[in-house]
Amino acid sequence: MPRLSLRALVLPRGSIDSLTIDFGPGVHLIVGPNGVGKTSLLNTIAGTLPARTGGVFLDDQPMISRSAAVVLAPNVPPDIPWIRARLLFDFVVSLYPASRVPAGEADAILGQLNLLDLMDQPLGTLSAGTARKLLLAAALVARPQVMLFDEPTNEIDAASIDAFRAMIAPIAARHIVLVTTHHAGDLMSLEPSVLELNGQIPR
Amino acid sequence: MYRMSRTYYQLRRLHFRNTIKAWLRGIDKALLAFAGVLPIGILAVLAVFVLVQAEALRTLLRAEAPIEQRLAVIVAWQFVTFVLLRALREAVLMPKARAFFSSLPIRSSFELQSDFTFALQGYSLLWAPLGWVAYTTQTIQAWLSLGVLVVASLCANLALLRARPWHSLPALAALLTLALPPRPPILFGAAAVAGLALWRSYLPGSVRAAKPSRAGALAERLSIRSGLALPFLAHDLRSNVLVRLGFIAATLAACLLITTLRTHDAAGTRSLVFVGAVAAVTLYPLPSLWRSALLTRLHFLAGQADFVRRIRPSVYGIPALLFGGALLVAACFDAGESAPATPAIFGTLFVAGVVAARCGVQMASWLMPLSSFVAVLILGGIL
Repeated sequence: MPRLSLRALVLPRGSIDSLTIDFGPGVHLIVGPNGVGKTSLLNTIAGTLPARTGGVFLDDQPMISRSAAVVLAPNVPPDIPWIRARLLFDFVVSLYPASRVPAGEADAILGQLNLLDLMDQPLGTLSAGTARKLLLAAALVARPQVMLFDEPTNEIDAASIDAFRAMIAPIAARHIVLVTTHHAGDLMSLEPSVLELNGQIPR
Repeated sequence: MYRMSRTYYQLRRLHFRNTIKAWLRGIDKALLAFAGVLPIGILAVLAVFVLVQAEALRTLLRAEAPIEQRLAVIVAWQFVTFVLLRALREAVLMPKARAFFSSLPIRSSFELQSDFTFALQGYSLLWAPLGWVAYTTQTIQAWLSLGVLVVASLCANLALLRARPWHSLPALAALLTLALPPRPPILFGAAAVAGLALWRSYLPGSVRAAKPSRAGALAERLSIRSGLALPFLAHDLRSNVLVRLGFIAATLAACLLITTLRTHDAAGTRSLVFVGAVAAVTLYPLPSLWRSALLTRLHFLAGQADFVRRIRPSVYGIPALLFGGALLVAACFDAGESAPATPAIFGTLFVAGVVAARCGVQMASWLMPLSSFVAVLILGGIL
């Protein structure tokens, strides 16, 4: 079973200071007020924002050497309006050759999020919610050991939130799923652990 | 509506001035320092610039000049003005705020007037050769020809830079008619066609929604293999790269022109030296720019080792190929027997610049032009 360890982590943004915690398989909600460092924490785990001090380890190996084992679904879609949704999706998934699900299952995930008919559209023509769903779908299809979702339920319709919840539940049994959110109620049925960041950082 | 449109013009003027000021901040001091060290050099560069352009424009006014020479002058003028306005696009056209302002009740004519006025102001140094030729020629016919050249070319440039390629076609066709011996009806007709096409491009409904285009399977595989670096080049960096290549092509063209004008001696121009220097200076920032654009836009993948590995061959290989290609082409036209070490010297400069830009060494932005300039002085036999 994978284990994600944060060791004495100090981030360059937000108020996270010397955070030490372990995450095992399951859904882990990260909640807290704006600016506390939720997104920065996910970015640091994903290797896109270097920590000021401390480290991130997956099964006791530095995360930087295990980049194919983590995927981040960001809260803001990339500013590439010309790219076709299918090309972006295929590209993200192609970075995870060892863990991605078969093509049939990938289409099922796209179908459940109502994306199949929109895959030939440029990203710039999609609504904000649809673009976010595309990145959620890419993360679900890539399916590495650590899956990071930054406020995944924002701007998404209720039916897609239900579909997302239904897809995450079986995945969480074997994968580490970290979710930042301001709407914890949307995901409480997954029986997550909750890490509250409000200046009182658990050590 | 009138008051709002007038305010719009004032706002555009403010934007134009502030953008230019922001660009010149720092460069003005460097230029002054440079002029202080090499005042004659600056003067010589400016004089050559004005004289070469004036000589070329005079070709257009001579009725007996061959059509291919007149055509070359028109193409060169169009190219130079397009590159210039492309570089000044943010100041001249205010594209970032355009979508917001298009939702306000501003007359198309005021929008056109603002674009036209600031584009003409953006020509800056190009007015020197134009004014010089107009002053020394002093015939109505010449003024008319030069005026139509400026107007038709400007119409084509504004349509192209506002992403209305179809509306630029009549203006480009009108521009080409200037290659014919100048006759007032032709000139007036060309100006009218170009102006009408530009005006139509400002009318509401002149742009239709683009259809989603789908690349072939091979192109998609290449895009994915390159870490999306190739589609980025084709979409986001296309104009940037074309402007850089334009500078290299313009340098080569100037070298060839000077070679043909130097009838008093048998010595040719060392194209390889000048093109090598310009290619090194214009292409060295490209890999760093390309890489950072990809990693910024796809920030959520920036930690992926495979992503960074995939973009490497494209972002470093393609600029290196462009640099090598520029040297190769220049070597074919090198009439001045450049030193054999010239490609190696500029190649080293290019590589050093790429490494410095990648490491974020700020002083590369002035050290690279300075090093190339010194290399030109030595290798070009100017000292």
